[in-house]
Amino acid sequence: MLLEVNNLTTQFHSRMGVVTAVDDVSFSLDAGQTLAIVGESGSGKSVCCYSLLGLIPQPPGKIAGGSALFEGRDLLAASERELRAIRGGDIAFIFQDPMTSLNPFLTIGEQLLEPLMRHRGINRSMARRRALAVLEEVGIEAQRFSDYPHQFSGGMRQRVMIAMALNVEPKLLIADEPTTALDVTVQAQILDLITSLQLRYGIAVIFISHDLSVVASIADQILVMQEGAVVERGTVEQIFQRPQHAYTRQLLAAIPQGAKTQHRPVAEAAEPLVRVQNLKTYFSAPSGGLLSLLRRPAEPLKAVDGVSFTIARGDIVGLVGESGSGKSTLGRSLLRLLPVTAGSVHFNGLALGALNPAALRTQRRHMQMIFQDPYASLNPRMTVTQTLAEPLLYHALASRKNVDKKVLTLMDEVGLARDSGGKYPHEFSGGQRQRIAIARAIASKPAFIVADEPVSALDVSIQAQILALLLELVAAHGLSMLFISHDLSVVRKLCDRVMVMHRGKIVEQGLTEPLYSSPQAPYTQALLAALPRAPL
Amino acid sequence: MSRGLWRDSWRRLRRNRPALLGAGLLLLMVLLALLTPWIAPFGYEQQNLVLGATPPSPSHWLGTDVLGRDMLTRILYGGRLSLAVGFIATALALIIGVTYGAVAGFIGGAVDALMMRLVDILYALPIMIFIILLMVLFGRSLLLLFLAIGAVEWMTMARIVRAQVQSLRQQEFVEAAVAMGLPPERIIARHIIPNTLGPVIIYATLTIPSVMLLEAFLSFLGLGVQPPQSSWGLLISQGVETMEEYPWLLIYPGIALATTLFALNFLGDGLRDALDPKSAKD
Repeated sequence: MLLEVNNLTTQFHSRMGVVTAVDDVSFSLDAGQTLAIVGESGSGKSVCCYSLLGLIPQPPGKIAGGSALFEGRDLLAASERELRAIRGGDIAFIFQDPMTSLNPFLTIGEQLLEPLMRHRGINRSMARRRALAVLEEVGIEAQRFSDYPHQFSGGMRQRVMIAMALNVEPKLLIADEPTTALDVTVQAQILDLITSLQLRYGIAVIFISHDLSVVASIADQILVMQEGAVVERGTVEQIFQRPQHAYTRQLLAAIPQGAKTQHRPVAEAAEPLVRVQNLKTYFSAPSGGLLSLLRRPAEPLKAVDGVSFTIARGDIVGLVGESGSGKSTLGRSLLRLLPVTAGSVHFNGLALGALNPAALRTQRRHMQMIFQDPYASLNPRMTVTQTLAEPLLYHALASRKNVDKKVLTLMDEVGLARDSGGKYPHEFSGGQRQRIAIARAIASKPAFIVADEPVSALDVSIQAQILALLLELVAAHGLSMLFISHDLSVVRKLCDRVMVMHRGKIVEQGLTEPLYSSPQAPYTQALLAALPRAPL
Repeated sequence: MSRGLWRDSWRRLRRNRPALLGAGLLLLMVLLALLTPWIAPFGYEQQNLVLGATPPSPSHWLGTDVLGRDMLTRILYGGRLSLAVGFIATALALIIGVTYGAVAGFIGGAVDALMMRLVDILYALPIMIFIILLMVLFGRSLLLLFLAIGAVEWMTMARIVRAQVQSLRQQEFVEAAVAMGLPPERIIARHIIPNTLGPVIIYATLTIPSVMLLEAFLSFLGLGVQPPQSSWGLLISQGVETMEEYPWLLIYPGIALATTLFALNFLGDGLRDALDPKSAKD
């Protein structure tokens, strides 16, 4: 037995009282095995692993009980000095966000050498040889040894992190949501990399994730956690085929599957609600103020490069693509939240580009946006009531007298408690915040909404609720929607039509089902192949 | 039902004891300053050369200076001036700086570059020359002194606010306000400025004392307050010269200034917390 955790309990002491973040958790792990810990945010899955290595701040944290035997030695009883030797030595970590866990001021080479020289006590040239070998193993060319973290893409940075972790030949690798920030195709590559390296070196892996479908392909054992406690454990087959606990079933049910059940008959309207012709949005390189006039202008970044499509009334159109494909830029360009380089957008037969600023502002109430991050998209200094009243009052859809009543109607509609109007955004959970943002978007009774990754910042079970709410509102108000997402399963479930975007261009578009069952463009095929599949 | 930022802030401020103490002290200072002509035991230029510098005594609670003038009276009158300079010049700096910085940061691009280069140029001008020039052109007056100091201090404020606004502009809630069709002036007033208040208030509480000291410096050079009038800054700088023989000439004006600064800091901290809904402990 490599690692044996018994009755681990971790508590946080706060002004509000004691919170038990990890509640009597036990598990064990053999060399070469993979244990997946699955749960939503706040379930204690990360705290559990951080507790093992003394990585939680104490106080306010406190390990209240239990033992963690790593090769027979109790980690919980080890001194900080011993733990330092184990961390980055026998046990290595990789984190969700590779950018924040790499030092931006050091080359990746420097960062690879340091742990080798420290933990393995070998000299610089030997360390360098070894580091280069590890880099090759994770698929990074030797000449990038002296590059800085910002010069790598997200996936490449995660490879660097894996190289750093492997480099000291750990016995146990703890991976905390290592693919959550990555695109699907990159996620598939990183998962492959972890499994192949694990086989070769016989490393045990603890894989922390919120996503059951991701761990399905790599885990030997799955631990499902909720509110600090393990509610279910078993093999992949047991968890997916015969889930016992209600919460596990809820998580499984929240994995979007299949296609939208009721397709709207495609209406043959004379004029579509949105008509986009050859739209281009370029970004020029950041100018250095007045001095930039003296320099030769750099080649602009073609974020949206000649895109044409239409959206019919009542349609939900999905826009999928990986990060950097230009899908968010396209959504913002449609609404003229970004200056457009060329091409035209007709909304309701009106050319938006030809409107003056004041006329455009009056049109804006008919086309709204829902943002990805419900933490950033609400003004932290306005209460819910103020946030929702603003569009109503400004567009004269309510008077001072009846605005409170209209706000309450909106709150009912998106499922917010009526007495929460006086609260500020930070007093709500992510899902509730997204409900506020949705209520704000529908307040001005728009005809068209651009939803930019509206659920990707939310937990899976919350995602399902918010998607259901969006569908309900679309039906109730006869809305059209452009649904931007990197998640192909969600789009399949929700959208009538789909557009696939790659490097600023739409490479394929069509009705959802034909496109998913027989993708034509090679890029679409690659995207669909990379989808993690739950064994159902 | 109708909670709002200002109402909530006031409610939170009322529960913050140090801030209330600071506010109370400041209020007391301001009241004393306003009522000085009626409560001061002597006239501020009333000399008693025979008396000379005497330590505190029942007839002169805080002693007298080398010309035999009552220190309590001098400090009270000095406070009038120092507080007026501090508050008026800072208020001026706040209004100009916040507006200027918010507009530059929000519009961005060439307008921003132009506006900020202007600030850079003004920064580069030596303050003294600027103020001396003003005094020469318009004659020496207290009002001009306020204006001149305010006109210097707003530039740092503008830079702080502009940097804040630039990062706020990228936030999605500002984008949401644009998408809602709100005009720029409304977005700046409702969504941007309230979110810059934290650093602005802290900087303002730091500006008030620095303005008071700048006034002392200008007065010392003969560009500000003229004797027999006085200010705390001037009293302190005179007190320093005779600190060994007559320490009370330095200590009491020093205490007056220090108390004000403490009160300002407590109030400033309290205001910053009160204006941030996230700091609510309920």
